[in-house]
Amino acid sequence: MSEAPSPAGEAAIELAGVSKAYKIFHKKHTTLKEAILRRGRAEFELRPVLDGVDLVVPHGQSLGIIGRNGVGKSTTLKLIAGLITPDAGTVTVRGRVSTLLELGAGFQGDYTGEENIYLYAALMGLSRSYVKERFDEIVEFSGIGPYIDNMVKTYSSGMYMRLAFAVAVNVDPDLLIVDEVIAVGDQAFQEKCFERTADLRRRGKTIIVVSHDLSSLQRFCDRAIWIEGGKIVADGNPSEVGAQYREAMGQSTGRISAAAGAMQISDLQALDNAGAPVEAVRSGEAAAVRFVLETPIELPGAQMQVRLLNEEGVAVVSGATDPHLTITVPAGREVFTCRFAALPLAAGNYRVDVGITDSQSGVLAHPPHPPLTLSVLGPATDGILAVGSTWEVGPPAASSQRSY
Amino acid sequence: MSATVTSVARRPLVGGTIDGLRDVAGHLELLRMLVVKDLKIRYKASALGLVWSLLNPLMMMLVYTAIFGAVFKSQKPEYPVYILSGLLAWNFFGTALPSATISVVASANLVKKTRFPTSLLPLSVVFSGLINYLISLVLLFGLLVFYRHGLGPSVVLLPVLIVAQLLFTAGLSLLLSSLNVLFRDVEHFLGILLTVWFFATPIIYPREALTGSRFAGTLVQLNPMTWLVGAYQDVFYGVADSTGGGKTQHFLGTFHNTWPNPRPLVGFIVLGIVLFVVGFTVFTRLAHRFPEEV
Repeated sequence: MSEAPSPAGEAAIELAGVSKAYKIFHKKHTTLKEAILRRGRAEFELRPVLDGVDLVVPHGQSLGIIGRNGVGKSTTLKLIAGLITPDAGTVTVRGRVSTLLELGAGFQGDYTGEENIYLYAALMGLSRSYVKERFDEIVEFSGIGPYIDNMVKTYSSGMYMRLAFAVAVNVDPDLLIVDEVIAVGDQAFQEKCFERTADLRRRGKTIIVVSHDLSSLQRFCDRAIWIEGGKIVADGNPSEVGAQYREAMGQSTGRISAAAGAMQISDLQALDNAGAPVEAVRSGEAAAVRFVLETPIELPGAQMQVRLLNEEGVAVVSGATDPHLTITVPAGREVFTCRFAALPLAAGNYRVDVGITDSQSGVLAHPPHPPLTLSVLGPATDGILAVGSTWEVGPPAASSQRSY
Repeated sequence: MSATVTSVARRPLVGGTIDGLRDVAGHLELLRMLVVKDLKIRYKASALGLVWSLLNPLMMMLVYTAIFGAVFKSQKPEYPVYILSGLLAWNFFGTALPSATISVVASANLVKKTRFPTSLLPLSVVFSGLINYLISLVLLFGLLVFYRHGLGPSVVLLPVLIVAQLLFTAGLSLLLSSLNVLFRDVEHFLGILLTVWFFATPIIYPREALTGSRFAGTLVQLNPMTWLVGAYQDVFYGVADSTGGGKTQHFLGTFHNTWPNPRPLVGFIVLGIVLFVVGFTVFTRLAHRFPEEV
């Protein structure tokens, strides 16, 4: 094992003009027939995540990445880890990479803790003898004790993570990538993790951490970047970048919260299959709910939900926007329509509820009063759904069957 | 441990195949673990374990012998030896290929979350199939002892046949497993293909049987598995035939041995090498898409 793997002057990580967009498939083509038939008519939209990011991380640096959800922090980590390839630009990583991207990534549930340690090392290209030398140290560090011989699917999430962390930091990586998992285990274990990472840093290893916990980033890192809108918007001392980020988040949250009172949902109506406003639909038919949202300021990251509640107040049907696809609502008036493919509901009256929320500020707007009621027509049933049924009498011999 | 430099750009890369092979060579421990895991699943899950993998071809051999020996009155002596020498080799190919084809998709959990040479997934299936094949050869050698059916000098070709079959199977596995990530039809199509392919290979029927039909005869002649299986049959069973054209050499009266016809054999070896290179190249070209596609 040779220490200090790099010639001086070469950075551990270099991102040059890196862009990455994800394909959001509305309907994924996984068959050959579809791929041939629908060539050029791909039903997906490209959602850009990173847009021309340049980043150089020298050896021995400990870098923290901060930013809101869905701005590309984890994408940056995955690019550095080599899990995904950029659409444009290059990613160069020098040295052996150890990753802690999510809870025990790469662990196999039906392997014992011991087998998983060897598997993880083998995935990194390490030999069995190399791991054998460090095995006791890894088990000791994880504090898992005799459970190391049990299958990891029996582990608690804390044990799982402790083992993952123990392996990742004890295989002597040149570059350690950690996503949101610093707060593992109890105080004593966190202290151990901190010491081990500090030790890695002293030995010239590079560490990249993503976290929402600004105080732990300040403790772990000697540099921080803030990613927003696919670009690095601040780069420097963790406490300064953290302060800027906190201020900006506080401002936008404050602004949105302050404006929440002025937001209004109006013109709430139910529509039938043809798009005409209705007060009642037949059970089983398609229907839609349309409303107008009026907001004085732009809402980045809004989530919307339409629910139908029966007379007992149970939400029988819910249509929510994809949590990964937050909607940016422009300032002003905008019409939104939520379509339900079918409403196979028991006959009765349903209250239409609309919720607009924001991950930072919570509920932004409430439905108008009095609430909108949608009647569903059809034969009465005891259940909450009306899906139709048939009955058969007698043993399942074709001749004696009678259907009702 | 020397430092590794990974540079990733949108379009990898000239020399990607060499890099890919180097990456595989750097992960031999992982290959070993995956092979062991595969064998454990094969043998540990059931009470009889290893016995099943011998019992299955044994039963098939008995059934086919009964059908072709009794019903079709096959004139070949020691017919079970003929069947088994082709059947075991086919089983290696015909069971490794489908499970290798789904191997990348089936390990989505690993492929999505960790970076490693994913080509080891199909390759490990092929290697565990190879080990299983070598074990099952015990059955064939047992049968040879039972019939006092000796082997001649052409048995020295056995390692060559096995390596050529390994390359052929691995190449096809790499090709199909990578395509299956993008088009899941591949695994279904393969199931049908293998059924037809099995019957298009002279394993359970005599090689001479199809010489009457021009179409079927040509199909069988052009089938690379015919070339391979024919060579195995020449080595283990012997007896010259119309397709092989090799000389029968009898030693001490009981030794059966034929040198395989060199043209189909060399053809198969070349095809195996080409298929491996093509399969590995296609796989490494597509591999960067796997984490987002599986």
